[in-house]
Amino acid sequence: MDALKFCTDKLIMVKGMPVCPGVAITEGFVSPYTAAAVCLMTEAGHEYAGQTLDPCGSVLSGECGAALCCDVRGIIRNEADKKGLVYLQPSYGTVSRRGLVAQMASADQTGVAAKDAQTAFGVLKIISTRDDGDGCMAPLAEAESQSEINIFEAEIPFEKFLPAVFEILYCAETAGNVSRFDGLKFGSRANNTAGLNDLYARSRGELLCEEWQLASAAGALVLSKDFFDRFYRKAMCVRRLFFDAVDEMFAANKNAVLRLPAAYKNAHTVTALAGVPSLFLPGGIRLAAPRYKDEWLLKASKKF
Amino acid sequence: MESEKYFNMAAIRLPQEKKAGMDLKFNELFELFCLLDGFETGGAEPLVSVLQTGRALRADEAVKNFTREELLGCMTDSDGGYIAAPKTLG
Amino acid sequence: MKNNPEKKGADKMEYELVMGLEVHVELSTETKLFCACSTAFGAEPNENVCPACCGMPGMPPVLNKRAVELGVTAALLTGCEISRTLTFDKKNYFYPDLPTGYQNTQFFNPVGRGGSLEVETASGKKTIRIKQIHIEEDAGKLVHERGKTLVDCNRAGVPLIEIVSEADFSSAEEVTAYLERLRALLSFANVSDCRMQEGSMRCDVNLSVRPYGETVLGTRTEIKNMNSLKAIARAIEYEYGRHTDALADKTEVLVQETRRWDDARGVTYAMREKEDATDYRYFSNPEVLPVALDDAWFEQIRASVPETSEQKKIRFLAIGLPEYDAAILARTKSLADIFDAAHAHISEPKEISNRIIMDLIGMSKEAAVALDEIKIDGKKMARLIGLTASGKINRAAEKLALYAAMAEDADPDEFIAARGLAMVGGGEQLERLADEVLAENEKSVSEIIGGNQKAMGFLIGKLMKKTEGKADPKAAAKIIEEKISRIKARQ
Repeated sequence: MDALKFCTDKLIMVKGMPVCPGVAITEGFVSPYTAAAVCLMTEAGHEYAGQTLDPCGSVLSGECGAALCCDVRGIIRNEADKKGLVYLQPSYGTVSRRGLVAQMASADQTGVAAKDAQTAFGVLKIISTRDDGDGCMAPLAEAESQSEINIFEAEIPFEKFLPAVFEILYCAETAGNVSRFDGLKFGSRANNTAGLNDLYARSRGELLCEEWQLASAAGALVLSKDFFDRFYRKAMCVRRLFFDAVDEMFAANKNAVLRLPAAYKNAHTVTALAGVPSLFLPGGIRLAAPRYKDEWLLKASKKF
Repeated sequence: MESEKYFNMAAIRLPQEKKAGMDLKFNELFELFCLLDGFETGGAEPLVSVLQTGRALRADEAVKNFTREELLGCMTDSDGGYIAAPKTLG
Repeated sequence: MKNNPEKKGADKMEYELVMGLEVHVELSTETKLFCACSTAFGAEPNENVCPACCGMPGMPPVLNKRAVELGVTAALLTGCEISRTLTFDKKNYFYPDLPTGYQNTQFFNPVGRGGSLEVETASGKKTIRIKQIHIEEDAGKLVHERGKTLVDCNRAGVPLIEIVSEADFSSAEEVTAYLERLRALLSFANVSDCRMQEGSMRCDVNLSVRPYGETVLGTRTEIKNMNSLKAIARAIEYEYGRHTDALADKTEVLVQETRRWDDARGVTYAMREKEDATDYRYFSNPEVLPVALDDAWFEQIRASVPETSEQKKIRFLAIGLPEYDAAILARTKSLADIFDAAHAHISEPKEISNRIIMDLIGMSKEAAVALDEIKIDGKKMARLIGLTASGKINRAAEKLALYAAMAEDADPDEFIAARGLAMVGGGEQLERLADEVLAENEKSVSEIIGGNQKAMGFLIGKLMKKTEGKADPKAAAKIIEEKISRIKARQ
């Protein structure tokens, strides 16, 4: 792959650059270190072109050839699709999360927005290197010789329930990961606070972004004694069933990738909950592959 | 569902003008969660991670990649080598 | 504190103490539980810190293998049932000494459950049941100065085990005995140095009182901030008094709460509501994959758990050592190790323990080597014992060679040859030299024959001198006696 310029979205930490730009509570907090994926890219000879709050816009405008993003809620990939770009979400655990501001840690993954699949996979090849700084890693499957990858369609197992499962787990995990943003240590604080509890409550009330506020409160609910079994534990059990069902589905369709319905709004829940890789191509084409067979997505994409 | 209890648990005191809107969104989420009441999981065990049991263990060797100055320099108030906060209550 | 001696005396007979302990012990690892920061004591504030342990985002936790092994070791030493899968959970609350807003602990699945520890007090022996042992992270340290709360994250993330007992304690003596026993056990096995003054062992006491015979527990208070065994004993005594006074006089209402011990004033004071009120919203940390303690690793840990003193003593007695020897050797690890090393090469337990107790202990002083650091190659020691037993050297020579083996790891045979210490034991050479001695000292011979036994020692000495001290004194004595007897018989 030729040398390219690449950007990072607001959830990726780069030494000397603001942490979570655009989020008030981290204003003034400059990162002391650089994410593993970014280091790998620069070491491979690619130029870091800075942070972006609009990864798709940056790729489209030519500011960069690829944008590294963390898109667990599926917003960026839906946008990429609409703007004629490609978005690749690799299998969970294949890219080090060191330097990624954690939200739903069991699903967080660095993905790539690019103009074409070839570029996206070129980037994946570089950033999917094992890192001792992340204890939750697994390797991509070895490249295979067969070139024919088929495409099948199927009903998503438990489709109706996936949004609930995803939200419960997203809120619970994110709540636990953004509690560190408390106004005490780094970033910004609310003014004129009276004592510690006031500092926490008002800093987080005034400066934390809405998405994280909501996740923190809803996360507290699903983890609370009253609701733990009913929501959180149950969501984890449904996730188990879904995980197994997805594996079964791929086992029944050998050497094939799944094509998700174009209208399906919750494609991100599939990748998040099962950890399988997915590729969004322009024109509403969404493909998902068995875990670690990310390469099949590239092969399949050539059909479009 | 009264959302204030949970915002408090999460150490979040919303500005007055935001409370109503957030309460609405909170309750929308709660309703979504309730959809799960209609699902029978049978005897399924919880899944904590999509990865199998790990052996990602670290050798017990000290590494120092950051100086004190680098890290304290990121803090809002680093008083004499400490991270400083207003006095705690109680 | 109310002071009505009569009343107090009556109280003490009416109410019994019921206590459980939560002991936090810092594990002797080089690094923290989930990051590679040093745990070294005494650093400047925030010196041993990285983005992970001071609460910055983006650093996934990577579990310290040694911490796991020490946690399992502690559970083994206390006879716990071990969990063969290790998991960690987040305990969520907001406090300045908790940089991430959660503590990694083992809520759902502690590493050890259902152990026990035997303690001995003046009242006798008692078994204290251990409910569980779990591994967790320590919090940072807070300093209150200049109207601010100052946070030092050096301690944040340091691996701890928490040892939770059942409410089996009924006196301060039992509590002290338990803590001393725990310290001896864990420090012996290098799990922790358990120094209360340095904070590597901390103890919270959960205390309640109830009338004798009552089965329902009284109101429980938790006492924290006792920095020594003495402070614990004093705090228990104070709190017992406070509880019994409240029950007897009904002037104070006992509330379930956490209280802090103020050692200077000798009182406890209320801190905050007991944490049952807080919902910690525990959930499994998805960033810490469950660790399987497979058979190979488990056996490796089990094998590396050092034998306790008690176990050693039992083993030495079984080998055939007398009580006195077994006790001395079992008490000091270095001596026990020497015994085991030599015993692997020569099956003469008493001979070995004699050398250790009668020779080596004194020699260590001479060589200015601390007793718990004394070392000697077991094979060499066995060799020397064998040489003496077979008459090749005498005890004097053996002791010299033993010292050299201890101080310089000298090879016995080489040493003996170099110093010419091989004994002139018997046979022709001794015969010839004995004849010389008798010939050179006719007067003494006559005296002995005439009945004066005193000269016997003189002649034996002369023979020893001729052999340059290398003869076996017993053989020398024997040969002189025999020769003189024969001379006498001929007369």
